[in-house]
Amino acid sequence: MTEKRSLNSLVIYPDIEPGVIDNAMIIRCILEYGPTEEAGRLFAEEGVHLDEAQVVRLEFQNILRIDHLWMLKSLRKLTLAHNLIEKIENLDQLTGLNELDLSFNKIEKIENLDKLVNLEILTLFHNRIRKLENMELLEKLLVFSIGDNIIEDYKEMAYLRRFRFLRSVSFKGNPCCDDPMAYQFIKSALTRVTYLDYKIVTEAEREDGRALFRGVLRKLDEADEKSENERLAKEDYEARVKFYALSFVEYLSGPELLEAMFEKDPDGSLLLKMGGELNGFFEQPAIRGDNLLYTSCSKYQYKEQYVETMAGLVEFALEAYNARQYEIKLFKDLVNDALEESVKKSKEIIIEYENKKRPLVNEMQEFINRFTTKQATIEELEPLIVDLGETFNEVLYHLWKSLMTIEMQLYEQCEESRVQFSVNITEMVTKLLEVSRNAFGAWREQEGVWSMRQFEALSKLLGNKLILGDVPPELFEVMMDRDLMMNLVAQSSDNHMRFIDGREDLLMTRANNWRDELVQGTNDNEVKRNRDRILEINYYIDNQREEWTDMQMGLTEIVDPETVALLGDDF
Amino acid sequence: MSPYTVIIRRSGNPFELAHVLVSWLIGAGYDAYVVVGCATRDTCMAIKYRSICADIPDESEKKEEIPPPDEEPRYRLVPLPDLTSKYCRDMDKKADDKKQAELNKTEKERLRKIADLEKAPADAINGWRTHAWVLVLPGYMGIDEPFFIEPSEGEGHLLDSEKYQFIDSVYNHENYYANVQSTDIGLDSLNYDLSDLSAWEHLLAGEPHHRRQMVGIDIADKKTAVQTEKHLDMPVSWVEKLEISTDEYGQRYPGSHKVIHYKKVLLDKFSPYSERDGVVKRIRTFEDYALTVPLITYEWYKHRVDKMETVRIDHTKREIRETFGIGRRDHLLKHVYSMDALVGSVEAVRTMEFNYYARLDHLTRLVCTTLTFDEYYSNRSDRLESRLVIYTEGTKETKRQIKDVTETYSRNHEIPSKQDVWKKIFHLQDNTIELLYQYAYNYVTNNTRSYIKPNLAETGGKILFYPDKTSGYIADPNAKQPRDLEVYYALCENMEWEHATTKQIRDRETDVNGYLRQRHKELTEPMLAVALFDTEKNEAAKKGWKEQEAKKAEVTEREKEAEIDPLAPYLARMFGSGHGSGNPLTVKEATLIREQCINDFKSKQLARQMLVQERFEKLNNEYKNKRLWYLANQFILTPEKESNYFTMSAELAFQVHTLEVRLTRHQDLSGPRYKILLEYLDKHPLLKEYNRSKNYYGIK
Repeated sequence: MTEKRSLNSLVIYPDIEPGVIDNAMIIRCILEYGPTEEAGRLFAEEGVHLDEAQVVRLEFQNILRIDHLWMLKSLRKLTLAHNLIEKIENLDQLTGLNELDLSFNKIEKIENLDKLVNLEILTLFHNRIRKLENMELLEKLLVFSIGDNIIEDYKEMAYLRRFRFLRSVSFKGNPCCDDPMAYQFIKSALTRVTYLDYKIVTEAEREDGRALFRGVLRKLDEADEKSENERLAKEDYEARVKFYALSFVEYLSGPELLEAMFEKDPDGSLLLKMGGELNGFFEQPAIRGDNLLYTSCSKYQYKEQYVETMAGLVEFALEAYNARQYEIKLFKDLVNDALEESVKKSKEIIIEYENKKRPLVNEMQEFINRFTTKQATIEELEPLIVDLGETFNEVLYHLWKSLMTIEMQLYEQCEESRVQFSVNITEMVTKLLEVSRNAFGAWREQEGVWSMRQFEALSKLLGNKLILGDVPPELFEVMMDRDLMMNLVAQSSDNHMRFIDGREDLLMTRANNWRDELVQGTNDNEVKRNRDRILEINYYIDNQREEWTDMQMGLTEIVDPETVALLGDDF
Repeated sequence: MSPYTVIIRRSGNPFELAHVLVSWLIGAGYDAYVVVGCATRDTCMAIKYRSICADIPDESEKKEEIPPPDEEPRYRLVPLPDLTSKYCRDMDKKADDKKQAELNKTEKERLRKIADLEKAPADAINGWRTHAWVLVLPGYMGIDEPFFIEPSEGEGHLLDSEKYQFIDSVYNHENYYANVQSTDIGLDSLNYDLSDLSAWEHLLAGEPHHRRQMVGIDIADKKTAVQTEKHLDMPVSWVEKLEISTDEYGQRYPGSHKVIHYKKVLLDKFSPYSERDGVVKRIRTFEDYALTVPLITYEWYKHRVDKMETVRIDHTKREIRETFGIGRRDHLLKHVYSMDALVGSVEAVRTMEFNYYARLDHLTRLVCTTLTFDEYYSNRSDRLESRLVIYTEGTKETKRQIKDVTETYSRNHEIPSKQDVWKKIFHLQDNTIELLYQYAYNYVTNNTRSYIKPNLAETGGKILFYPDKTSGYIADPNAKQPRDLEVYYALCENMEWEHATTKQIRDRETDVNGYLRQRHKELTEPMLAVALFDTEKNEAAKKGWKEQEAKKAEVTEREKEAEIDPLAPYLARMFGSGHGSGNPLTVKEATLIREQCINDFKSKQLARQMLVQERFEKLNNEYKNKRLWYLANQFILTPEKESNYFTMSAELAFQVHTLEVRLTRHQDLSGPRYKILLEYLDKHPLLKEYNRSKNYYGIK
């Protein structure tokens, strides 16, 4: 305990005035912990790029508040240990943060960590934390240190069960550690944690704890299992929706959408509360015995009919999706193969060029040698150099021409396929839209039938207080007034029609947009690729020419300005 | 000569050989016949030097044709416009065709001439040479077509083979069929249905049993049965059962060795284990008919410890190619080297291929020449694909020095191409390092970076950075130039890398030298592996077995010697131990010992009987008491106690019964045992004197 106190009050650098983080401090720290020696010199010369720093250590700076860290965009590891921080804050911008060290501070509460979803290592050693909270979103947590805090109830640690990747926990130094049960509980409750206080947890130890805390653990297990199942179901459902969305038919498989339609339409659902005969029209009754009458008169009910229609559409859409993917693959394969072929050819040509260039360079070196060793004067060499330069330019021009030819051929060769591809894709999308139009038409028809039946069924009951005795008061009111009821039915029908229109529109726009984007994207990509290549070729040629000129300049640098003037005209 | 004799003598004329082969085939279930007819001279005299050897391995490369896609591709590239003149092309083609035709003609003429020269000289008695061979007919053992087998070589031939000219008759152990068809039209158009009487005349009327069609014949009726059976059968064979022992079969050829002379080819066959180096087959091809200029030698090996399987020696290219099986310690699969190569030198021209999967360093191939040393790798985790080394020429005093090292890496798709090094080239003599980076998507040029290495001696071992000593090209015109720090780090890393690489190259050379030394040793002192369970050849195991057997025999011998002497303890008491085979005792001593022995035996028997009796009585009493107690109390007992009693009494009864049996057994056996003891003592060699006197005096 005495040691702990002393640690807390220990100030390593008493002369640093307690303050906040500022630019100078960050730069100083980065430089301090950056590379040393020659690399350090280069590092310092270049200047510190705050937005590229990956690791920053701000230790022993007597910092009072976390702030001004937002410019460290690519930060992966942040160390703020041994400061005077009391609150976790202003870390929201550092989303890429992988490791955060806040040990030896005065933090009292875990908070404001929600944005750090990539955090794997979190160290809160030696703080004043009483409770584990606000960490639900740190799903990737791997190492967690909470030692030397003031957690009084070891049951608190059950909070850590939610982290699926958590492997190491350090806990020592909390008040509740004196309780011999504490470790047993933690070992048995945190089944996924392999290392506790940096010591491996054996199966036997876990078993001991499990026997002691059977009741508590069972409760925890049950709760976990439930949330886990929910999570899995949700993930599964989302994945399915995502998959269907690719075929533009999300939410159309199964009755959810119809239910959603009724939910959005208060009038319709109000009328639906009527129950009895009406429900029979709406969906297949659970107990057939009572409602044989209705089922016999209408073979399919609204809901079943809807599900069936939409199942047809979904099936078609999935098939169409596969067909489209296949089409895209065919096209992509062709284009990629062609590109690969052209790149290969171009590379060969460049190698050929390099082979041609080598003797020229050697010759040039020879001239320079002769000149520097005073074997020949510039006047003697000048015509030779000019000749050599011309040969080189010719070779270079030839290179440029071949590379450009290959690129142009590639572009032209692919053009027709691209047009054909866009036609095919458009055709496929049109077909899909046609089928969907039919399906939605059927839905509308069913809606009409439903509306009519609903009206019929309701009119029978109109004003009949005896039957309506036990319905909700609002509904009762409606059923007492014919106009009101008719209005309500019409309104509900209108609502439904609008809903259906909306869904259909959504499907059509999405499909059309997708097609436009694909076709346009393919064209744009190709154009961009073409431009990039041409740019690259020209850049390369320029580079080569520059290199050559540099070599000649090497010659001229040694000689007087007169010769420069002489040669200058030619280059 | 009977087939049995042929097998014993291992030689015979065509008829005898055919008999042996037909016997084996029939024994194995085939429908085989000996054919008597006429054949060509080469066949009759087993001349092979006019025929081509079929065993020469086919070395022509196989071309794998890519099957055309199943459906017409929906997308295709627009073909480039063809701007050449069609007329010119046609004219060129015509000229080419003409030239080709002329060439073909001369080639044909040449081949015809060769064929003419190779033809066999005319044979005066062509068509009169009698020969015997084997015919196998379909219907059994999954054979669909009739074919011939030449018994002297064991090879199958089609019916239209040119070797055979006429068929006179065929026979086997069941019947003799004379051919009545004309054989002028060729043997393949004959009717081989032997039951067809218009084609084959039978010696014995009727068909053998298994060919007869018994439809509509009632065997139960005696008369019809006799009528049906009324024909002659072949006599039963008088030849002894044919047998070839494993040892003989292993030998294959008389003297374990056979040479066949084909056209320009010599084929040697050896039986396994007969040669010291394990060679089983050798083919030598020659340039000329007189077999003087060798072309290629192929050798096949078996059971070698070094796993060498084949050797191919090309005499014109002076190249040796060895292939190995999997399982060598250095995982060598193939070794190609020049015949002139210095033994065990990495500076000679050679190529080694390895089973990279089993090697830790994943080395696939090594190519050495005097000035290069190329390593190729597969599937390495550091993505190294090859390391090519070029050396400067060494002189007599100095060894060759490394000049350039080029390391090639495959693309690591996890990092951008501008950081992914494709080639590292170290110019060791020029003190420069060149880095070539991978090509990015759609780029035809790649980033490069070259360094002139700083002189470490001047800077005291520190690597300093000078911007003018490095240059580079960035393929992307829009990209930023790399930072000095990055360039500097790359320099540091690669200077270390160079150091490591040169060390690895030296290590590798040492390794390869080791392999080559090992190979040299294996070639000069070949060893053959013997299977653990091969009783004939496994000398070590044989020795072990023999030793074991000898040991076993020894143990039984000893057991026999050490028979128990009931007198031994008494003798020991009287004379001390070790009086096993001393002189016979005097009558007095003998009487004493004998008395002691018999008395002890008697008292021991008695004591044992008493003991058993006593126990028996005790238990029996207990049992009886229990029973009485039960009878008295049986109506007031709780069920628990009752069941307790029953288990206990059952146990007691069992014990009593065992003791009873033991007692009776003891009583039954003690008499005979006593008698045996007396008899034994009467014949005991040490008591000879006593026994004689006892008999003499008639003492009872």
